[in-house]
Amino acid sequence: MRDFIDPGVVARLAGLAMDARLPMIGSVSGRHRSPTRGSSLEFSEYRKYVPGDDTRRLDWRAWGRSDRYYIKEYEADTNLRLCLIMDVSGSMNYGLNGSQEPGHSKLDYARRLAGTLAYLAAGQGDAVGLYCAGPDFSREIRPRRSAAHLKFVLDELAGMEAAGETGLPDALHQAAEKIAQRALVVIISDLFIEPEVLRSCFQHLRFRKHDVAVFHLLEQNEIDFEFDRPVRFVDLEGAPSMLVDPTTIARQYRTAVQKYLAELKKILRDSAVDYHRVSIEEHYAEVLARFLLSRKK
Amino acid sequence: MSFLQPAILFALPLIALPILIHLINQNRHRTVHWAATMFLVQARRMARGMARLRYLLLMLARMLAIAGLIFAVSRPMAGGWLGLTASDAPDMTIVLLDRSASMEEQDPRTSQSKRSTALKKLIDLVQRTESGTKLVLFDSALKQPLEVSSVAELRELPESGPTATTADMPSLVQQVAEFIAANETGRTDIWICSDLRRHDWNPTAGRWESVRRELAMREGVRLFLLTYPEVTEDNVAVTVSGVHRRETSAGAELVMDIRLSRTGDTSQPRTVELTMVIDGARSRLDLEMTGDRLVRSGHAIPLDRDARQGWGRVELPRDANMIDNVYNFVYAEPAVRKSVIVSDDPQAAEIFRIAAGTPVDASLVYETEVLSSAGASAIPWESTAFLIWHAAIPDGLLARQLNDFVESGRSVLFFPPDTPNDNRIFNVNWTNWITPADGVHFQYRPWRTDTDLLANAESGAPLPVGQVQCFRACGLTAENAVPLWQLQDGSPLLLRAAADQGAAWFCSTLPTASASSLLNNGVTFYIMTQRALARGAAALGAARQLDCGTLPRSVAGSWTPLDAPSEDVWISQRTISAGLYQSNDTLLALNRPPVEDDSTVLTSEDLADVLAGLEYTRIDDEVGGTMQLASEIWRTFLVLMILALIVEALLCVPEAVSDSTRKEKVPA
Repeated sequence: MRDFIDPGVVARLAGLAMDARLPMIGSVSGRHRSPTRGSSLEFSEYRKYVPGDDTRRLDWRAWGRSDRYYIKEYEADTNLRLCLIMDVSGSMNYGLNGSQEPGHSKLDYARRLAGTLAYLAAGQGDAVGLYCAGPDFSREIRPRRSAAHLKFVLDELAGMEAAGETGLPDALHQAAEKIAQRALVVIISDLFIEPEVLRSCFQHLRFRKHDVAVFHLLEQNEIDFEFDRPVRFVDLEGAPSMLVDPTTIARQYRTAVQKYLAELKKILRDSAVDYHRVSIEEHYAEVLARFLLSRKK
Repeated sequence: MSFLQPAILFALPLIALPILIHLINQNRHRTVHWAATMFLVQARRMARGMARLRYLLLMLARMLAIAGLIFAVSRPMAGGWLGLTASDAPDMTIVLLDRSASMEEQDPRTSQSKRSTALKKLIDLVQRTESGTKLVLFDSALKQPLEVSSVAELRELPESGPTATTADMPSLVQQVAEFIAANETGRTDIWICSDLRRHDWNPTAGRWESVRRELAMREGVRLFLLTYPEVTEDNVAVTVSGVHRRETSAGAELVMDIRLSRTGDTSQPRTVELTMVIDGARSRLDLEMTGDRLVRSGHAIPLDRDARQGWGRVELPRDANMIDNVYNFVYAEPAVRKSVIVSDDPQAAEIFRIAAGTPVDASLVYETEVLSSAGASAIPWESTAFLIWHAAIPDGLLARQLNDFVESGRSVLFFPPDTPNDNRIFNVNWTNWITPADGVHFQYRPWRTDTDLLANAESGAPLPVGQVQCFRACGLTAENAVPLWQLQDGSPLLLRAAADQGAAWFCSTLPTASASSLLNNGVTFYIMTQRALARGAAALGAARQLDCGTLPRSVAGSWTPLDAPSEDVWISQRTISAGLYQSNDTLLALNRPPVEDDSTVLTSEDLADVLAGLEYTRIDDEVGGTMQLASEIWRTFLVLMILALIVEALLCVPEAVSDSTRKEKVPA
């Protein structure tokens, strides 16, 4: 166990399976629906017999009743690929109430979310991969199912640091191309990117038939903009600092934030992305529980 | 604007306090590491216009609030015309008061005259604003500076009371200018209170030029005109002239010409009730007026045959101006109208003799006597009413006799000799003969039609002065003289020299054919000669009609009032107030000069010309008006401060949270 994975949380969430919303194409049998028919216990449908079908799958009872040949088909269950895409731009260093203390930043919060999800996924036999979206698409760990691979992923999460400008749009496009088969793509970011830029990213991922989920990390004051005297704002991604009298622009700031959130929400809804706006004041266990419950079949 | 607590104005730099606080606040900023910079950039872009404006308005409102408070506490004073007294109190305030008869026009509601309204407002202004300033009064009747120790006295002083005089504003303003120059008065406010009557201001007077030059040179002198130019509606004035006693078959009668003039709507006929008072006996006369004037010539009132001399007056019912409702007159046996002509030119002498000796009134006795310059010592000074002096200006005894002659109230008309000398009399001397530049005849400026020898006839028609052609004129230099008729270049053709009593005129040309066409156009020359004779004869008779303001105050001490109103007049005010008196064996009737009945007002253009080059503030007030020249206006600044605070508060109120700006919790 790593310090960013709370055994208590894991134990609490262990009862909640992480399900995919879309059929997955896995390499082994698992608990997730597959687009192909298989031999699970889950009945799917009848169809007429055609020459060449395996006669062992004929439903003799149906033949006895109707004197016709029907093949009985069942769902196929398979495993999923969990691809975690982490935003590691400088803005993820922003923490609770603006602090940058270790353990309180968005990156730390994202690390807890991702680590716990990876642990849970590995626990139910799914493959876990990790992609880091920094100034360049710097780090890429393809999904695998082994325990050693999980350790590798967790090691990578533990050593992750946020710096520089965001490279999330490029990272998403590249991830869409590189993740070969259907996967559950979980993006954890503050998403301080123009919504129109994100639209193409999510559409790209959806085009590749990935099940996309987004954890949008925000701190309450980033929305409220509650300041009472002049502030010099130093950009965490390296842009020039700004001396601002917050009282003169608070209204415009809030307007811009609301417009952005509304636009983002619409884009994500249109792209059928599972969107979770997360306040980093909230305990991540609650967020994960909500996430897992919402995906329950 | 002035302030009763000017020291508080030193706190005015506090106006910068909001800016200072803002700058301090800016320096006290804290640093925040921020992730959502993209929203900051957008917000600043959106807020660039309105937010900056709002911020500027906020600063302005705060500064205004502080300024309003400081100004309110410093107790500002201002006039109904803001900025009237735009600095501290001057070292001296000179009040130049027009006390002419026309200034007594009253507001029927308040019974306040133009003069008393102006005084009241000035007293109020000085009391409120100019503590410690020296106050000097120049009035148009006495023309003497009078230092007033307390401004409240101004109302009570006899020198600020009503008179029946006319005002010589050019002369008065010139006196003020000379007073300022002589006394180095420092920062001086000149307040001219006048009704801007054209005859008082005489915009063509040459003295205005020197007045303008003198005042323009003075730094710190500010000119304020408190004017009452409106002419009261429906005011009737009466004058009487040509009063003389005439024997008739039934006994005797008093003959006079009565002239009425009125202002306002003159389209409707109006019956005017005149009360005639003859030696205390009253009678009534109704006259029907159509138009703005009425002349009743030769009105006769029966007298006792024994009544050889006496007094009387014509009264009108009460109206807007009480001064012009009464006209006094006296009558007696008319004096012989004796003229003496001193000339060495027989041709000219004959013309003078005919002009002076031809009777205007057949009931009067006219005598003329011609003397050569060598025989001038034989002039019968005591019996002569009028002297025509066509000879070199004398000196020595003869000059003194001429001075005495004029000082006794009689008149002299000088004409230039062929060879002028350097002698000077009445501050005038002849120079050289001149001819017109075009070789034909001189061009003239408009002559003075309101008064004196060339004044319009009683009917208002002007004399045919313009038809006179002048081919030769003698130059002259004069001091303190009043030009009545000038050549185009400003050289005088006829002027009246300064004299306390009597009159001395100088005519620069001759009535001979070689010098002018005065003889051919005889009306002008005849009338001016007869007017000069009448003026001199008035001083000889036992009954004299005098204009107020023409006699020195000192002569009135021995006068005996003839009627009750005259008894109420202070001795010092007798020569400037209308009244009836007896001086030795002579009866005196003092009246306002008839020119005071002319209600023509100086136009703004004329006033601008008169005061060209001088900065002045004109305040057109109303008679009886209640608007103060200055009042405390701290309430205005207090209201301003409150308004600024309200604006500041409104700008600081958090904006209503709209749907687009409503804060929301992060979890979607």
